[in-house]
Amino acid sequence: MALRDDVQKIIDRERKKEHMEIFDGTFLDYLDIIKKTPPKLAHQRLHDVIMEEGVSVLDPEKDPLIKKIHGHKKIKEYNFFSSMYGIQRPLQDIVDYFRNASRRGEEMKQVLYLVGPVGAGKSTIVNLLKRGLEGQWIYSIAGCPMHEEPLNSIPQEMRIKMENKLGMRIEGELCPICRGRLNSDWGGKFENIPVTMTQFSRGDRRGIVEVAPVDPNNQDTSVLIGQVDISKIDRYPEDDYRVLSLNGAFNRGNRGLVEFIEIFKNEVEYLHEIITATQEKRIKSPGKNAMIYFDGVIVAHSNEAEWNKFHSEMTNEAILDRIVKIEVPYCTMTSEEEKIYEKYLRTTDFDHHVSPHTLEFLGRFSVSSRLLPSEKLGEGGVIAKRKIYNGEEIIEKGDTKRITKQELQEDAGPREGMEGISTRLIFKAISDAMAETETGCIDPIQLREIVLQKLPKIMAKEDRIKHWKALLKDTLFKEFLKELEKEVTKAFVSAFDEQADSLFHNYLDHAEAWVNKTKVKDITTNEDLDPDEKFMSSIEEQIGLTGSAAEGFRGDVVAFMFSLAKRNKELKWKVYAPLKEAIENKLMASVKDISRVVTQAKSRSDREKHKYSEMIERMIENGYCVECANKIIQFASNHLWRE
Amino acid sequence: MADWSIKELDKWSKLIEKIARDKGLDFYDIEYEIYSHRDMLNAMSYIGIPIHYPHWSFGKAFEIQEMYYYYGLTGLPYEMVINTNPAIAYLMKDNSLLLQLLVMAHVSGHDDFFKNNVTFAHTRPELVLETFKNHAKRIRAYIDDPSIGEDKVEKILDAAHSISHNMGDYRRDRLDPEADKERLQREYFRSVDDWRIFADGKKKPEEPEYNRLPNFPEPNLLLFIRDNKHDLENWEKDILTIVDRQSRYLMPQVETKITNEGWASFWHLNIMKELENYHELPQGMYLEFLKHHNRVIAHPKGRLNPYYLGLRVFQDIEERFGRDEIFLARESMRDISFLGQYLTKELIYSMDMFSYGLQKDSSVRIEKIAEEDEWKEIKKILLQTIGRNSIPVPYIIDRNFKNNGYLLVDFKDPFKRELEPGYQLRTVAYIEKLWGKDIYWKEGNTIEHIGMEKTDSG
Repeated sequence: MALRDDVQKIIDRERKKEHMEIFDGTFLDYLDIIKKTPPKLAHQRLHDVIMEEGVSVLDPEKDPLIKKIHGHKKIKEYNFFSSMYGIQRPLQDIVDYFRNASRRGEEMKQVLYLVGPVGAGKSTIVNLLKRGLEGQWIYSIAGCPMHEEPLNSIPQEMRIKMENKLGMRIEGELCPICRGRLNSDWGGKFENIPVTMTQFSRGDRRGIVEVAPVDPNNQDTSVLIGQVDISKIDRYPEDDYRVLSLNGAFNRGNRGLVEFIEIFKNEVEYLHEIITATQEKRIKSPGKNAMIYFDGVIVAHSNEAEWNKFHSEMTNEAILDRIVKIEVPYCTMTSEEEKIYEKYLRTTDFDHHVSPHTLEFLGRFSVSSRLLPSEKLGEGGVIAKRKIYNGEEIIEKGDTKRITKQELQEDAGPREGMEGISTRLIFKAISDAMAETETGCIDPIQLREIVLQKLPKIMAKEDRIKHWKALLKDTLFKEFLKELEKEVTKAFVSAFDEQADSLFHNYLDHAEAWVNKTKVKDITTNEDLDPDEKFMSSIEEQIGLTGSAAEGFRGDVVAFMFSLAKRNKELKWKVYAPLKEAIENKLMASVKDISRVVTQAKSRSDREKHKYSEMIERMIENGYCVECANKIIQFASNHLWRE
Repeated sequence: MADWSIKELDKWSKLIEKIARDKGLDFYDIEYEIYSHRDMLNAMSYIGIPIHYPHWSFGKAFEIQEMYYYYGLTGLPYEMVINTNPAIAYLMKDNSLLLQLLVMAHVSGHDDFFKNNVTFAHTRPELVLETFKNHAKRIRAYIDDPSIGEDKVEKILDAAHSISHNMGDYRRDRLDPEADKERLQREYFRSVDDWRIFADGKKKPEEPEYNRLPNFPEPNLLLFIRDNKHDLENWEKDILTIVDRQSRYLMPQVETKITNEGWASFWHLNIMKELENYHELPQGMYLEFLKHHNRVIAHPKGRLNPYYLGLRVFQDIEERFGRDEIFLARESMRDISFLGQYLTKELIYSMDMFSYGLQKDSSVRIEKIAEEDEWKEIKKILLQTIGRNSIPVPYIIDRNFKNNGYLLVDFKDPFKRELEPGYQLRTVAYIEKLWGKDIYWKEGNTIEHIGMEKTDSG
């Protein structure tokens, strides 16, 4: 019973809200309202809806990561689109479109057209816009099929005076039906026109209307502009307003948004209706009436192939000129791509354990498939480019690679991100994996297999598929193994950090002895040994120092250590990334018995078994579950640490 | 890896400036510009000058640099600063914060050197940018002039560039044949006086031929040709003037490379230590500094690194004579005097310097090592190759050789070295193009015409 009551309460509350403030009055009463809330045109309304959600500014001056990813320009993130990831640029373009249109810029007279590969988020963007309008209230002439703005009823001859009085521009005109009613129902007095409130609703086709491509054999424009109701023709004269049935997409979508799905599947004649609607803000009237004023946002989208076909026809130039084309490419940032998968996981009912690096691996794959090669990065460029796009640093021979995302993007041109693995394919792979797994856990190894199986079935050129296969089988696989080695080794070596620490101090001892031309004492044998130059240079080389530069560095580091000691401070190796990497690599290479413990599952001694379970424990601390920890170690042992 | 913000750079640059001034450096204000690596490659090709006249050779330099850079054959310079007031220094956009600080510290050293070193005393840094801009404008105007055009301008520039550095005293910015004539006349009158007073049976000195010109060996080919080739058009003369001016702007830097870099390195080391010690420069950044510093002063065998050599000498001067002496050295010395005075036996020993030479079979042989008295030889050889000592200076001794309008050029290398024949041949061809007639070359007692076979196909 409690549930029933609660639901009833919610219903009551919502109803009350709906009915509470509904305005009901005449044109004159409406004037009081517009003094407080001036009426908006459709673009401005949608712009305000977007902006009301708030904007956060990503300031490159405050966050170096932002600068790496976006350059020196300040980037705005719109909360309205917060569920979309990795496509800041098109979103910014879309908001710019609405901003300019809301200020009566040329954009107000142009179609917003989104183009991009499948699954890049075009429909999601349009859905968000529609959701933003859903439930919005507007003031309108009561009973108008186009729920038009009451101010439209002011006769042309009074416009200038009224505009001055009201301090606003009035551009609309009455639809033929309201014009007819004005004379017959309200005695020609516009001030008597009843004004009410209307709520946008996609379900009721009020203010939010979708138009699917029309059958080419039946390019009947009534879908767009309504029709003459034949059943009434014998009752009224041919040009009487009462025979009109204004139920087309433009009529119903007036003051809101009209979406054209796969717009270029329509015939050109049909497209001209759309162009007139946006350019002239007029639509045809069924029957023999004058053109009808239309104020609405027209959003269209299609895939690239259709755009190219349409674009290549010279005769379409006039239409192209009235389109604001915004490319919505795939996401090319791994971390953002992962967020898309996380969001997807939240929407499914699966509650599987997701092994670490699973989404990361998938994200790396789909992003890599979308990037164009860069000459400047040369070998290993696929990984390097992906990392740079993701704001990661690339350390090569002890130095950070000095090449920016902006520069690479400039070289790649606008094609980048318009082709590649679709996000949906990954979604499907994830759900397949969840359906298949018997352990309640999905991991990168399993997903790699599934995606590999799916690849041949994709509609794409053969060489593309070959390239993607190579990514999975070779480039990304090797990268994954390398990181896995580090991860497993770190889990294997108890107190990895302390061991690395002692390795670094060992280096300092040798360096000190080398500088002072003294000996190093071996801890175990108590022997005096010469400083081990090979050992020292194996570390120095990794930070990019050789020869006299390495020797100079050696001396300077020792001097620095003493200078710090005088100030009761300690020299740390972790604070300088290349040195940290060098020390860790050195330590990893020196770990000896890992291969026995990891690979010899059957013949582990008690000590080794203990070591193994310790290792599993540490991996669980790092986010693995027992299942995937075992599987990953097993997998690693099959590919790594082989003699 | 831009791990910094402008605000941060601003904060650190103020701190570095303060430390530098507190330590006694005295420099023009420095304006930093953030450059992408492409901008930097660009600036490198134009010797750091932001507005320069166009010529294909700069484009070639750019292409080469860019290719080297992308194929990883060379990094980009950490710093570039030009001698202007205020000084302009470039910071690479993608450099780490630490590298920016290193550059700032280093650049304050250079800027102090520019302002105080005697070699730069005549350079008028406040006019440099304006002058270069003006040059660029003039040359562009000649290129755009339909009666001149790019081809003609390019030909003059090609020829002028080939000899622009081979000049004598670069502080002199014009030739003055009248003054030379007066001087010659004075010398003649004096010798006649001497002859009268000490009439010891000798013949009366002959009055010299004043019109033979030059009256004294003239060490500036560009200006000589400008002032003595009468059919040169004004725009051609102007281009020669411009190339000469720009070349002279560079000469002080050529003469002080080791001293200047040594000075800047000395101070970047000092300032960075100070930052670490008293201004909370993080350890990681200091380690990064040590790495870059040691790379900057790396001295692999067979290469003379001016940063290293200069730094070591300044450190040694300070140790032996105190800080005042290093300031004195930076004020009054150029490379030749600096090393001549301060490069000691002990330093040569401790740096393990040696000299080597190319043998006939093109193998390399180490000739002198820092032992016993050989260090003196090493020092002598070093002094002969640094500063402008490695730039040959030809002197014009006759502009009307063989009474046929030929130029007679005397190349007297004080160290008796020979010119590289390939370069010499091509350079002579350029000079002949400029002068319009043959060039005869005097080496020792022989006079010969060195020229390429003239062919119609050109």
